[in-house]
Amino acid sequence: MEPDLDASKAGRGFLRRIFRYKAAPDVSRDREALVIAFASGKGGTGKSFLTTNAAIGLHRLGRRVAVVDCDFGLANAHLLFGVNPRFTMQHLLDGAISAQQALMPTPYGPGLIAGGSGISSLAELGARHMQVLGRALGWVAANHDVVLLDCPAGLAPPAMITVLAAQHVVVVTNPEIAALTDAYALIKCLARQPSWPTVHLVVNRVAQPGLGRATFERLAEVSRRFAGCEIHYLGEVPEDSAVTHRRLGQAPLLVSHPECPTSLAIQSMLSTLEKNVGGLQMQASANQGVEARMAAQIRRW
Amino acid sequence: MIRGPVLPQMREGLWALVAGRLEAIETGLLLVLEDLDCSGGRLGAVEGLARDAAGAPVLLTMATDGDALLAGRVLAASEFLQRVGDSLAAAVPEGNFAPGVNGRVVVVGTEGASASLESLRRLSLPGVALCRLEPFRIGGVERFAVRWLANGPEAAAKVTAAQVDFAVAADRRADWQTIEQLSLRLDPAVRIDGDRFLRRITWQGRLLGEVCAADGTLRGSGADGVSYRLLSPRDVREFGDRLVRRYAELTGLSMDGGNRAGEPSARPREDEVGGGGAARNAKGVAPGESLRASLSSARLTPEEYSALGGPARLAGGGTEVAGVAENVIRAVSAQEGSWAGPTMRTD
Repeated sequence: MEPDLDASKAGRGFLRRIFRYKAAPDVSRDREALVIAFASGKGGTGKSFLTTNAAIGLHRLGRRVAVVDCDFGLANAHLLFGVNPRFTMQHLLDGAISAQQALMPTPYGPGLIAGGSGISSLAELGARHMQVLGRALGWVAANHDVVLLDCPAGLAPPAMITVLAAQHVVVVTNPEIAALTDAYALIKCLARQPSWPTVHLVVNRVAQPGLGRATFERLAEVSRRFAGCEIHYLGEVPEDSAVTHRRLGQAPLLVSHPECPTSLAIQSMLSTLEKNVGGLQMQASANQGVEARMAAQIRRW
Repeated sequence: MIRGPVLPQMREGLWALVAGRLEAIETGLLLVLEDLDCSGGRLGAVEGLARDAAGAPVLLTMATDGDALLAGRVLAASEFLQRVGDSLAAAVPEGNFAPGVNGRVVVVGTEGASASLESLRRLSLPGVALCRLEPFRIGGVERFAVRWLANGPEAAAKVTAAQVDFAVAADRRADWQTIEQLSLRLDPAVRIDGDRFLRRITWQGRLLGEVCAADGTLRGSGADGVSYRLLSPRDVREFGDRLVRRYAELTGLSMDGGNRAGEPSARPREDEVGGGGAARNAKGVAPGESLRASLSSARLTPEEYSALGGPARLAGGGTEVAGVAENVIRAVSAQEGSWAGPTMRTD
């Protein structure tokens, strides 16, 4: 039997009541996936591109990987994976389906919870939606080695709650001043919180080799000096016309062009990330799993 | 046409409104699950099961005009809580309910349900709180105030099960009292329960630590399983420090960043790459500051723009400088609804 999704939109039908908050199978929470958020202050820096390709790279390293497209309303990870999701984040947040139902396989290995397209703005999301998302992330984290969160741009509370639920955040920026200041705004906001994820930086769309390192050094110095926050460099991803001119339906770059400079940069980024975090694998969660971290932020909202 | 504020008159509509704003009903109320049927399907399900700030289970049901099953549903819910007692905590582990704390039923109604609420109030049911939402309109937005009709939060059950005496040796009693007083001072939601030889210290159902009395000595254990032999005032202070840090972790007040799973926050983050934890919280958030407040207070300063290569270093002149500033201000404050200026640059 399938959930009556039309009923879920219109009101609260019988089937909706049955399927809403359908309990996910009990899973051990002693160990939990490493949760990494990909975020940026500014939109269009390449978060989704890096998230999907990083997920494929991790899958090739033998990890069980899930991507959760938290870019509520402006989701496109499913397009980059070339899948047409039947259920999305919208159904999940509405309570029409469970996390297990929302998680779909992709042709390239990682699982995906596709973002919703019916949520027109972050302002529509309330504490209740975020609690549902927290529970879903808890289930996903208990069943994978690494969970990658493709976070929305901007500094709205739902976006920040999603970032703060992760153990590590990869800030994706470009070497231009607008992206740089927005990335710093994000880092400053993170550093204003009682606890925040370890911050890593990737500089995407770098026109000249070495510009990424220079961008990092400037941002790291400002973050240290003004926000009291250390950030860690993961590397630079070169500007590549092969990426810019990609068409819908093409396989992700790491699959179609594994030897191109951009793919090599992503693989290098992953190996640096692995070295920095001490292994991309499940970790002991005790009582501080992703769901608890998210709940702590929801209480502060 | 000018219309007054209107609350939903159907149970489901009212619940959709209330479920998203439980904090407005009672501080610390957190939704655990929805649709709890405790009457075998005869009287309909109560809308929500929540946990209050003391870690007690709270059944929430909506009262609307013409709901003939309301009284029966409330009675069934109240009886259900008495019947299942502490075993609810084991049956719904995600609720993190505190052991030994009595649950209650909260009935939320609107103006239209005044008659039903009044009937319930006259019944004076123990453990049943009644409130009515008073809608109003401010700045074009509908909001509601909560008017308690019976057993409001101030009267909420802060009742713990009768406790047996803790069998602590006379020469260690002062140490135990120190720990007990420290714990109870942390937060009104901290509870201490247990049996003759063991005391569990919890906050909202989450373990802060345990103290065990055996062989005339006291032994403490933290939530992370680390044991402490409480032989001297220094040991007691160390254990107390452990409890406070655990409390800070759970409440989000911890000043230790990184959130590495299972890692005690007091431990220096020596293993962190590049010394990431060393400078943490140098400009940290004030304790208890809300997420929204912390975001709005993170506005960038002119010195920061300048250091990033903004106004002081840009050779482009005023237009670009203004564009950078606007871009940053937009990023920080647009979500707060305070951004009203023109957009000079877009993504």
